[in-house]
Amino acid sequence: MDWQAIQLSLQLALATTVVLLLMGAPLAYWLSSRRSVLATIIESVVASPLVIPPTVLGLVILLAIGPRGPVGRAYESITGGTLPFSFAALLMASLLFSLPFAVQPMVAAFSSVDRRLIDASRCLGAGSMKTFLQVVLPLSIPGICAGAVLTFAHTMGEFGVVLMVGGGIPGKTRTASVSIYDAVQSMEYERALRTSLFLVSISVMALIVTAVLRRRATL
Amino acid sequence: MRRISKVIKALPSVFVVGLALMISAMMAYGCERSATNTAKRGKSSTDKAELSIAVASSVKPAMDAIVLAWAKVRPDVEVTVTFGASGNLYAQIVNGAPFDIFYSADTLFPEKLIEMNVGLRDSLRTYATGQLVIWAATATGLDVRRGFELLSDTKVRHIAIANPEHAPYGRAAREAITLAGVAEVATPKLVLGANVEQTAQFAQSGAADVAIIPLSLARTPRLGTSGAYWSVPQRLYRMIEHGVVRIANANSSSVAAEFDAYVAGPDALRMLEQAGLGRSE
Repeated sequence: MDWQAIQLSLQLALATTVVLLLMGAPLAYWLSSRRSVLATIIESVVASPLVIPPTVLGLVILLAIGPRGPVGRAYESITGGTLPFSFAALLMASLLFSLPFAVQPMVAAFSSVDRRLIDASRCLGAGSMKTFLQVVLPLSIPGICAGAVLTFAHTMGEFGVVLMVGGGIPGKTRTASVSIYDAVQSMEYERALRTSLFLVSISVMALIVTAVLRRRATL
Repeated sequence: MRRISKVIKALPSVFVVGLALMISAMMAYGCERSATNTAKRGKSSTDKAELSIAVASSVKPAMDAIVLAWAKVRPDVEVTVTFGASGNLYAQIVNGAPFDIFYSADTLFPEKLIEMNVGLRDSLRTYATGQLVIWAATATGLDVRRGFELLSDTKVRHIAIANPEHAPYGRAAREAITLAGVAEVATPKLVLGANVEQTAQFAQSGAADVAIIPLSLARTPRLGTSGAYWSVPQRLYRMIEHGVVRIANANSSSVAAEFDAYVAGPDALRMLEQAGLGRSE
């Protein structure tokens, strides 16, 4: 089994989950508390990676972060380095691709918090930040966990986008799913199946965690 | 809280419904396919013969032209062409895909099929030879005529090749880099494409500065207009021979043999040559 690739996938999935939770939570809270046209548009944009084919999204990202793309040019002028075929590029692509998986459960969780509790907190003198941190967030933990688990599992198995922006460099951008693809292409079906089995067990574990959280939420 | 639990609660049922849909779609598709197959077969005995060809996608430009030309020679044959990675096509054929003949991008897969008694031994031959070129987009401002010396240039940060683990052109590219004596500087710059098309895409998009790809790809209008290539000298790599094999339990074995005879003929050879897959240059 390709442990190096699995380790890389784990790192990528973990980093994606942490960043998406930190960046996604404020976005999700904003989306759940606004009913404006802008919020609706942004919510749709956030969900769009669900319907864009991964290789298409990958190609668009590759063009954007390449030395001739806008993001790539800005990055080069600041750091002097290039973005494609690096872990940073993989992370950026994963963040975009997994965005709906993190944000949508959190939006659902935030909007299901009882409005009266928020009003009570505000009446008692707590600011909006304090209300969010001490009332809304604790009540939304199952939903946040669900978002985290879905993001993690989704990034673990992601293939098309990573293949396009990664360049399959062993130890650097060759994730477990790319390694499986390479093994299949080399007719090493046994190696491919072993790594696949590991990926599947991780995904099943993630689903079990989600199921447990669901029970807790309904109790 | 209720809304989120509702969403999560719905997940397994969505999963099951999705799975059921997929399975039924697959079954429906299978029925339809076998139904059209039998319908066509029934018809084929009276008027129209059928030929199903599996072709490595790197041969697509040449094969498109050949199939078009052959349609004029044998207008009574209905040809279906399936393009794909040689490895994927090989796996499909082993598992009973209904192809009559297989044009691979190497000789390994056809040989394997013969070993497994899936391919006909006497039908194996080399139908084309692949050549390697160094390609760079015009926008990079790099002069590909500098050849391998270009790979050591500090301006070249990423060199795209197909994955040498399974792509014949990737293997040849690595071989050439080593024999040209630039392995030390070039190896850390290598990025690997899953296939030759993706490798070219890396360079075309600008993400990689240069790519080492088949001549047949560099000659396509898409790459021909956006960049320039330099032919890698043939002493630097083993020739990339493309093999063809007929499938043992093919439906239209005689038509497949006839088609392959046409591919071996002068008209098709000229088309292969034009596409960059000629015997030698």
